[in-house]
Amino acid sequence: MAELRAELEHAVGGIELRVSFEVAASRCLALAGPSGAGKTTLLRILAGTVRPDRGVVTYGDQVWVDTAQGVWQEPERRRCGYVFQDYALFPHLSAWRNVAYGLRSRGSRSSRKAAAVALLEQFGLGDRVDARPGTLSGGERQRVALARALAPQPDVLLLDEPLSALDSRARAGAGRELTAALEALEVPVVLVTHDFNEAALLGDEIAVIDRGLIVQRGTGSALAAAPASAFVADFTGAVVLTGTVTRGGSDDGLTVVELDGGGTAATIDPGTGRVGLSVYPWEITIASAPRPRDESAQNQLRVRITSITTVGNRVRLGLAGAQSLVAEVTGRAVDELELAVGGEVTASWKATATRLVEL
Amino acid sequence: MIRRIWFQVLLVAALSVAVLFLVLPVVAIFTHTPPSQLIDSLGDPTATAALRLSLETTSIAIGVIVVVCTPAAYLLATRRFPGRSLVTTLVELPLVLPPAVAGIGLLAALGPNGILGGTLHSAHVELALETAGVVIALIFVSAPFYLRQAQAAFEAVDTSLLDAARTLGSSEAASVARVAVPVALPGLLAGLALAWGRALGEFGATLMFAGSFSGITQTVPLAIYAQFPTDFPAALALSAILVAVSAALLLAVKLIPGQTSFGRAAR
Repeated sequence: MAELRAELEHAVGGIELRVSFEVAASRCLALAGPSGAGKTTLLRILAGTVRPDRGVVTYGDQVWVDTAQGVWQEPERRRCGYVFQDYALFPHLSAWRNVAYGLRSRGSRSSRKAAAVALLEQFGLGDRVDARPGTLSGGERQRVALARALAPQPDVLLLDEPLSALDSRARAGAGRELTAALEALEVPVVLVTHDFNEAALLGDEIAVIDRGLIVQRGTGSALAAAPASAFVADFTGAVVLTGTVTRGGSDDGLTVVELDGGGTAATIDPGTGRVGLSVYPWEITIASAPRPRDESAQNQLRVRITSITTVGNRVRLGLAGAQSLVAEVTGRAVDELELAVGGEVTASWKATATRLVEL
Repeated sequence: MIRRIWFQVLLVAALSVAVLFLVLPVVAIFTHTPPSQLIDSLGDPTATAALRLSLETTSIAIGVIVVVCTPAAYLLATRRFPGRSLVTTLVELPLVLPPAVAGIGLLAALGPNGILGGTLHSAHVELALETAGVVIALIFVSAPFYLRQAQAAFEAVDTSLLDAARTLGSSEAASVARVAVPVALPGLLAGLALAWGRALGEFGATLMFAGSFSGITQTVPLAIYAQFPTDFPAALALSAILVAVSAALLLAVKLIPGQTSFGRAAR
């Protein structure tokens, strides 16, 4: 199995994309970034439905695009399975005919139908083979779209926000199934998403795209542990506080940052000048009394609760001091501390859980 | 309270007047003369010749329109090029052209002394005062109805459907035939019915360009006009048939989106 390589420059919607990446067989690269970052355009360039301004796309020793050499392979010759964001199922064809669409040139009509039905059964849709897309649920459509893309046994699989069209209830199950399906595949997979959790769930590696460039590439946990910039930290779900380093590299090894709007916070990372400090919401603890003494956490801010939102088995607290931050605690903690919107609390977190990031 | 009732009465009265006015002539066609007499007058050779000619010429015209205008509409719907809106406006112009002006225009362009008349003559093609001329006049007046509707129908097809077809191995032409046309079909059929209805009723341009010769260029509307001074029941009978066919076409247009199963899926 071969490797997919791309080195592309393309202007789209006011953004100058300039990216280069490679994906080995059996690996899934998640291109993650905010909406409107040109991610879908990148997938379309790989599939061949958009021509890049400049660049090269190769699969093994096949050259799909080389603008300098004037090489262009039509999309129908590239053998890319593509799962579209809104699934793009053919509304006039039943589920099995959608899946069999890519099998046209192979075998008899009955063998194509048998292959399509077998694939749908494998995805748990054995009783929906004759259903039109309009009558399928979101999760069923997603599986038909995946089955349709996989039916011709593509060389490369491209996924555009495969879970974002689903409601949160359908998403968990569909995510598990998709993970299992991707693990069984032996081809390079490229996924684009604006959701870090989706990228971390489905991708072996994540490449974060900001303003047209890949700003960091690594596993989900690596990005979360050591974000290369405030953008990456924010994208991975961390709180980012801004400020200026007042004391760095001293004997205790702490870097102290004067926060914009007042207060200080410390980190074990070195740095100078204007910086961002990132901390994950679940690293922040909440106490009702100001400045408890027996407390190892170096960083403490007096804040006001602006919102209390239950998310699954956790509670997200919106907190406002000079800068706003978010903490995640248990429902039990909310009850025990009698937390309420408008209440004053102390937010604490350790300097060792605080990453210094570039702004 | 009373004022509110008066307003409701006013609305209902306005609608009643409108419906009465619009429906009365149609009803009169069927009630003025006993039905048996209407059916008898259809046996008249002039009437049958006109009916056959109308059926033939409109069918050929619609066939030509579908073959030429479907790809043209697809191009207008899916490609951006300089002058595109000008082209769109130009091909819609016959919609607002008075039929008599259309007839004069066709004569000036394709008549014996028209700008292409010499070319056509040397190619032994005679259009004016021939059945072929009727077809030309019908195409000219009814093609824009189909073209406009087809363009809108193709514009409404999600481009990612076509991209999906391409990534699944279809060439562009194949993906248009297998995906764009079936998905746009309700709109295409509606345009077809509108164009057919317009062609069936065509009068002015045909009369000016092709004349009114029984069996050669005299379509049903022309036959109605030719017969009504001498044989009013025969003119009524032909009118009744045109009303029935036009009503059937109108009904078909109204029913198309509901009838086709993908109308539901596309919603």
